[in-house]
Amino acid sequence: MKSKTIKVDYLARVEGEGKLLVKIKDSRVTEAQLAIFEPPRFFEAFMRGRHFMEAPDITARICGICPVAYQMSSSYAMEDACGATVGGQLRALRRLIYCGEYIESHALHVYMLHAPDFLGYEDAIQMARDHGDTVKQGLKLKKIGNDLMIALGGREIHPINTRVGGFYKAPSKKDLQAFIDPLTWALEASLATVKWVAGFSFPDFERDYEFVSLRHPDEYPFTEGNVVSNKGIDIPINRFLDTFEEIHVEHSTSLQARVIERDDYLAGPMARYANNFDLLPKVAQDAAREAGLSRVCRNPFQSIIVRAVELVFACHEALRIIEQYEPPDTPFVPIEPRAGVGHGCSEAPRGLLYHRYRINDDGIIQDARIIPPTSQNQRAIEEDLRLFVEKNLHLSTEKLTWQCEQAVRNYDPCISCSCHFLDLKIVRE
Amino acid sequence: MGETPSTVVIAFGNSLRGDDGVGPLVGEMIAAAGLPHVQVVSNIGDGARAVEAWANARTAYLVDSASSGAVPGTIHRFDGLAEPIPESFFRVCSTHCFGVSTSIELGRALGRLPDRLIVYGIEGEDFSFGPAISDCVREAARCLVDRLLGEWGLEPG
Repeated sequence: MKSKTIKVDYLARVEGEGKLLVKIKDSRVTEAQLAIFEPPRFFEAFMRGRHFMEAPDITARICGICPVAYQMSSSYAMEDACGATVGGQLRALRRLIYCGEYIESHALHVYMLHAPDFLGYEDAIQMARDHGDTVKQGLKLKKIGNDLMIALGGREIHPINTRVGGFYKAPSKKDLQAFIDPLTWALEASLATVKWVAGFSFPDFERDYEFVSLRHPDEYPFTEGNVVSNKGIDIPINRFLDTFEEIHVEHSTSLQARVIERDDYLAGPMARYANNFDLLPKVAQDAAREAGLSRVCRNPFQSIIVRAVELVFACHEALRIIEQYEPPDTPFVPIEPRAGVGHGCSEAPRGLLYHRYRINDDGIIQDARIIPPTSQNQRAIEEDLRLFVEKNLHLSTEKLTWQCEQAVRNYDPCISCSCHFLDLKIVRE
Repeated sequence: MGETPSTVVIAFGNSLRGDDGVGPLVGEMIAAAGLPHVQVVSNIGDGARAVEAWANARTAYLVDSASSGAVPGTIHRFDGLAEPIPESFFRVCSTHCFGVSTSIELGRALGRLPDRLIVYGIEGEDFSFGPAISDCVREAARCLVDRLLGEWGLEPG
């Protein structure tokens, strides 16, 4: 029996600590494990006893790349518990800061973390030596996203200006109009990004995923809507835990989510796109079609194109909001606590982020539950690896290892969120 | 619009992680001197912004906490144009952010470096949660600010 071991001690361009193990025996993959060994972070436990107003600021600390997602999911959950609604321009501003996070996060992943895989570079710095103008374009896009987050949130990492009920301070019309020229450039750059990444060559690999995302009747989703899937799920956010469960597997310190009585599902750009293509602005739909994408993309390696399409969406949406912006009378809706349970779900760049809190009459948090996108996608990543390796056993170990790492990066996984760095090991027996 | 400052001090670090806050502390002390030719960009958590921050400056100083195993409070100095900065000096805890070393290498690859790029690292002792900065690290910050003010022909404060 032929035996072979491939080991990559450091898989770069993935956020978090874990390792990947693929065991092959007699041309079959016997194990494909995304083994996360990042220590549990206990955020849910230390939320207990804190005031409900603190939730957005504390949970934002879970992630430096998608803090807005944590702020939005927790704020919506607390508002749900207190029976409050935030609408009008405050709601629009929440979508606008989310646009900033999408532009920053997607530009970083597309240009700096994922594109090097397709162009054969170890990292973005090597790529920058040959593709300097492209990398400069990516950095400029990212900066515009960061600047938007600073304008609305006070700073780009862990913004300090959002709160339950809205914002501490609303921007002036002039503050936002300063973004029209940069975002107009960003929209064109995003369209160019779609064309650029559509020209990459993609492994021939598709899966019949269960795509899970939010869906709102009127808009491409950020923070509101039902949780839906292409396989029949259509539930209000407060029924999330009736439909999805988290299980513990021995090889991971992070819980893995699955559809109850079914199995893995996929959250993130490809799921949002598949479930909400009709709600994308025409400019994004046209860009997707010209890139050769159909209304549903089932090749996870092409997620880079979908992210680029979402960059187009985010720039277009940001411009739309800014053009219609009128400063609100007050920057927030006052929220009075009451005993109850609240649920919030928003679309982090990497996928669905669910929060549930129970608070008492004084607004003290009694318990908290947070299900981040990467724990929802872990099983899908493992299944991708299993099927991809089985289909590509003819590839050299070097090429297979490269493409397995790439397959993990398809998800832009944030292991830190789910509970840093990956150690990849393929064992051929 | 004022004249573009010819010098930029870019302070890396997190003021809520003990001695990692020494970069922002140096930034704060230099900003307090109110020098028109010196711009301070502080609380940099992502080195990608550093590449932007030095884009229009002739001279850039990068200041960060270091964790090399040297005696806490030691001031390290590197010429960023002369050689790669050892990554082991400046810790980065995320692949979604660039640290000092990566931002310089990215700038070098893009041909986007200032005429002069000096990196200062102040060896930290305690990087635990909270705003407290160790006495020896705080003292080193004062020494560095005095050294920079002296370099700019100013009397140390």
